[in-house]
Amino acid sequence: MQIEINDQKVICDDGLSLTEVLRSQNVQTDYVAVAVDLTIVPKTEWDGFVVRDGSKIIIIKAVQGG
Amino acid sequence: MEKLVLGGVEFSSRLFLGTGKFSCNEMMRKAIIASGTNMVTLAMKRVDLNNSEDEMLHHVLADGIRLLPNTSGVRNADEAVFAAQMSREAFGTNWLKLEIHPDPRYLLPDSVETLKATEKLAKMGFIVLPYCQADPVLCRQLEEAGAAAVMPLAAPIGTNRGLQTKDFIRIIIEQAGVPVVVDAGLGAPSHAAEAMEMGASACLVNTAIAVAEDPVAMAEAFAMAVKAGRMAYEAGVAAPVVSGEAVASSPLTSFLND
Repeated sequence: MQIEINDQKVICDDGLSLTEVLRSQNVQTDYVAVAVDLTIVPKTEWDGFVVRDGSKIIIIKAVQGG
Repeated sequence: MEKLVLGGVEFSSRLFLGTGKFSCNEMMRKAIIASGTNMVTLAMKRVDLNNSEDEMLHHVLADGIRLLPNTSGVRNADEAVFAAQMSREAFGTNWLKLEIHPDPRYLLPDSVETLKATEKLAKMGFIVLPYCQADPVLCRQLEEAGAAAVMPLAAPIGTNRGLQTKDFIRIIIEQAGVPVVVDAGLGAPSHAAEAMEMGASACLVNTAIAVAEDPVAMAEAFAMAVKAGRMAYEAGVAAPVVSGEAVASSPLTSFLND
């Protein structure tokens, strides 16, 4: 399937959970938040959340800022 | 010195630190320590899949340091609410520096959207610290909407121009039932001291420290200025003599001649 992560097109296997998608992209998962199609998915639900073809995923993390 | 209580939490330092613009994370960490602060801001950005960067949070997380994520980059209340929820999920805190500044040139806060977002977020259980115009009427409204503090600007972000809004901040302090944190534009320790002498509850400083030749020394200088200003406020700053005429501080009786 093809999905988008932070506006970047990514190809991955069908039926993967959110945890598996993030792992496949080597995403560091400490202190990040993830939204799929603008709905925030709490970390506790990543394992059971199946990512669908065409999903748009946003992952944010902390940066310096005032 | 009286301790600051904000959002139900006691702060021993009245200086909050922004973490932007430091030359490197290590310098930022040293400045945070030197400032003695109990709260630092951070921003959020999208993870870059192609680059693994040095994680700034590893340099910030420490006992006694509370995180204050900001919503920089959002353009309206709806985006701010989404950013706030992302922030809560990522950093495990419901504290939030709400900033909505759609205009990139002056970065002035949008009062209408800030008020809307404050109301929504406070109802959702966030401890909302809105960065706002130095507008006494707005600050009252933000307080009524549930803001835990108000953070009026001294001058536009990063300008180092000092208390350009002094007269209005004085009114805000007089009327506020929540802490008043002077945010943005403080360029020198003397600016922070002046705000604190006026009765501000705290100051939030970033650029002036981060871009100083020696950020660590400047962080300490701001810490001393904030403390001195607060002590002076509590001690009661002497009122200026309106006429400008001298008032002798030594006896004027003659001792050389009759």
